[in-house]
Formats: sequence, structure tokens, C-alpha cells
Amino acid sequence: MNAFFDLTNGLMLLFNLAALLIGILHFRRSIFHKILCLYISFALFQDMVPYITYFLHFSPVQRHYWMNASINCFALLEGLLFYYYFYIALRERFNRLILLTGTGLLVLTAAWLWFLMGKFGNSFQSFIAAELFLLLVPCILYILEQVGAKKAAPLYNDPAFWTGAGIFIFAASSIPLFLGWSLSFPVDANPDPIYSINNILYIILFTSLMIALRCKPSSTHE
Amino acid sequence: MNELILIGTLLSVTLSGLLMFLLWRFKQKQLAQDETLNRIRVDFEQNLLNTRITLQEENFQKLAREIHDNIGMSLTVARLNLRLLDEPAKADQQSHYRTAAEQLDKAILDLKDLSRSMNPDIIKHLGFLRSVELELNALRKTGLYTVDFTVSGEQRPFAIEKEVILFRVIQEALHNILKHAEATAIQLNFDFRNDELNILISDNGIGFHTDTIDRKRKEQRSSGLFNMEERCQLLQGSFAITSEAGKGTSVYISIPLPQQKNDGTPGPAVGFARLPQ
Repeated sequence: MNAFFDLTNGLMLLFNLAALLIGILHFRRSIFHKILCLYISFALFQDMVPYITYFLHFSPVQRHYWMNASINCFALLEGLLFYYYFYIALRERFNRLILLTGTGLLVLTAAWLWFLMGKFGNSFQSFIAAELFLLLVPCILYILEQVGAKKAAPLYNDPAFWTGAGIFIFAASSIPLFLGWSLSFPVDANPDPIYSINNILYIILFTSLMIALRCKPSSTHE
Repeated sequence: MNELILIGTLLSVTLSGLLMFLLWRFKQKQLAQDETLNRIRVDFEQNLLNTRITLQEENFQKLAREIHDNIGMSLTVARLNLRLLDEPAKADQQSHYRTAAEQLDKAILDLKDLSRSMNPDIIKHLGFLRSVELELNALRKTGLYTVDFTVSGEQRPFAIEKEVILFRVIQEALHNILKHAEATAIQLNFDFRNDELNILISDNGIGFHTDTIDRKRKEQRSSGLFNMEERCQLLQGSFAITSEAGKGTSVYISIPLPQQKNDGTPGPAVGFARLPQ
């Protein structure tokens, strides 16, 4: 299983790097590209955390703390960035209001879990699970807005579609993964199988983000 | 349990992917429908405009014939009858006699010009550029304007229907100059390129704020400028106008030219009905 984990992890890193490269190349194209580029940079930094803790010779306790803390921080940033992304992409005022509420909920959940429950450096699963549910909200709003839109626009050139598709597939599929893990796996069980599948989901996400980065939006959000 | 998690995840990937695919298909269909509707609307508007212009040209032709055959003929007979009369002996009556004769001559000439200008057949007989030149000559004759007419590039005739429509646009532009511009100089430039004809009509008149005109064009879609724009659209061309108060006005028209056949003749006219012959 270790080999499979290493393979998926390596592939995910490659896809992350490729997405970052495309993001840098198209950074100036629109605000959507800038946000995606920022997200991909954070994701790459997050991927590097285990190696950083290794090279800095952290103790297992310190390593455990910083791994959880970094994943928690990254998850919050990820959520905020995607909420901001869809806040720009969505047109209807009501949908934007829901997004603002969702942002508030995300921050409150983080604050509650990290500081009241003391999970900031101890565990990330609970926050990730909550965040995954909250990440579905902008995607569903985007789908509903597209279905209800009277004027049709080609989706192949809409970065929001590819980003929405990537996050939707990633979040919807990660929910059973993390829920199953939290509910059925013993605390000291090897998480590599779960991480391997999660890596594959990240590969799907980065692929759709790469397509989103190659889009030339015709909207006025430039 | 591992298998259950795996199956659940795979199922979620498949279902969420399917949902996004369905959204994609839905938008593609919506797009195709929109395009079809848009095409139908454009075709309808084009046909409507085409019919309107054809009817207008028919009326112009009838009116031109009426002027030429009836009113013109009556005036010519009146002039002949006047010539048959002896000049009065008294000096003041002589003056009245000559003034009447001159006014009749002028009326006959003006009606002849008007009839020629209205009749689309004249373009067929004289050719487009020659007809434009005659329009400009009429302006020159007034002595109020300096008219500069230049043609550059390889001159190419195009379908007579298109020529008539374009001729009407130029007439409207010149008419606007006479009516509103208070100009002393008019410049008309025809530039034949490989696949398009660019026309510039400019004057040194009082000009205007283009914002006002844009607003008026939106409010009353029947204005002269709107007609010009519409006619240019019918020719699949573009129409633009620039002006500034006190600095004159320029009208830019660009019309695609038909692809030349190997023998150098233009291709067939497409997109609108034949004008009355």
C-alpha cells in the first residue's frame, strides 16, 4: 500500500506543479486566474509541509502538531478562496448572500473547532468534513444559476464551470471517504489508503483547475 | 469496510461527474437553441429590411417616372408655349417674361436632376461611381461647396442591388450635410481594397455631439442615421460616425466586396430581392 500511496502522492505533486506553472503563465488573465493561482500555491506549500518538518528535524509530537495545524489553516484558506471565487462568479444577489453566510459559517466552525474544542494542532478531520459540506454550497449554487440562466454562454470557456466541476467532484467524493474513515477506522490505523484515494481526488481537482486556468473568460470580471 | 468506503467514493465521483456532464449538455443544447433563434431573428429582420428597401425603391422609381413623364413634360410644354409667344414690347413685361422663362428652365432642370437622382435605373445605366459624381456635380453647381472626390485602389463593380443601397446611403449622408452641417467643403473618398470598399464622407461643418445623436437614434429608430446604418447592415457592412462640435463630421462606411471570379466579374448578389427593373 505504501508504494501506491507514494505513486499517488508523487502524481498529485506533479499535477500540482503543472497547475501552478499554468497558473503563473495565465496569472494576469482575470481575477479567477489570480485566485486559482493563489490556491494552487497554498496547496503546493501544504504538500511540502511533511518534507519541511522532516528537514527541520521536528520531533514526532511537533510534527503531529504542525501537520494538523497546517492542514487546518490550508483548509480554511481553501474554503475562503473558493467562496470568494464563486462570490465573483455568481450573479444573483440571493446566491451571493448565501455565500456570505457560508463564509461566516466556515470561519465560525474553524473558530469553534480550533479554539473551543482545541483541535487546531490535534486533529483536522472534523474541520475538513465540515468544510467539504460547505464547499458543496457554492458549487450547487453555480449549477442552479446555470440551469436557471436564460442566456446561454459556452461553458468550455468558463473557468467557473471547470473550477466548480473540480471542487464539486472533489468535495462530494471526499465526504464518504472522510466520513467512512472517521466512523469505521480505528484511531491508530494506517491512513495511507484514505490518503491515496484523496490524492487521486486531488489529481482530478488539479486537472479541472488546469483546464479552468486555460480558459479565456469573456465576462467583465477582468 | 475499506471496500464500502471505496465504493462510496467511486459512486460519488461518478455521480458528481455525471451531474456536471449533464449541466454541460444542458448548456450546449440551450446554446444551440439560442443560436437558432438568433439566426431566425436576424433572417427575419434582414428580410423585413430588404422588403422595405425594395418597396421604397419601387416608390422612388414610380415617383421618378411621374416627375419625368408628367410634371416634366407639362413644364417642357409650358416652356415651348412661352417661346412661341412674342416677347412683350413693354420693358417691365419683358422682365417678367424672361424671369418666367428662366424659372421654367430651372424647374425643368431641377426636376430632371431629382428624377435622375431618385431613379435606381440611372445607376444601372451610368454606373455607381458616375452616379455619385453626378450627385456631387449638383452640389458643385450650387457654388456653396468645395467638393473633393477621390477614388483609390482597383475599382470593382458589385451587384446593382448593392450599388443602389449604397448610393442611397451616400445620398442620405450628403443630404444631412446640406441640411444640418453648414459646411463649405465636402470630401468623399472611395478606397477599394481586396475584399472591401471603404468610404469616407466628411465635411468641415458645425459638427455635433455624437452622444446626442446616439440617444436620438435609440429613441427614434426612423432617423436618417439609423436608416443609413440599417442599409449598411443589409450590405453586411459597417457604419460609423465621428463628430465634434465645430470640427465637422466624418462618416465611415465599410462594405465587403464580392469575391472576384477568375474572369474578373463580381459574384452574384446575395441576401436581398431583385430591385424593380
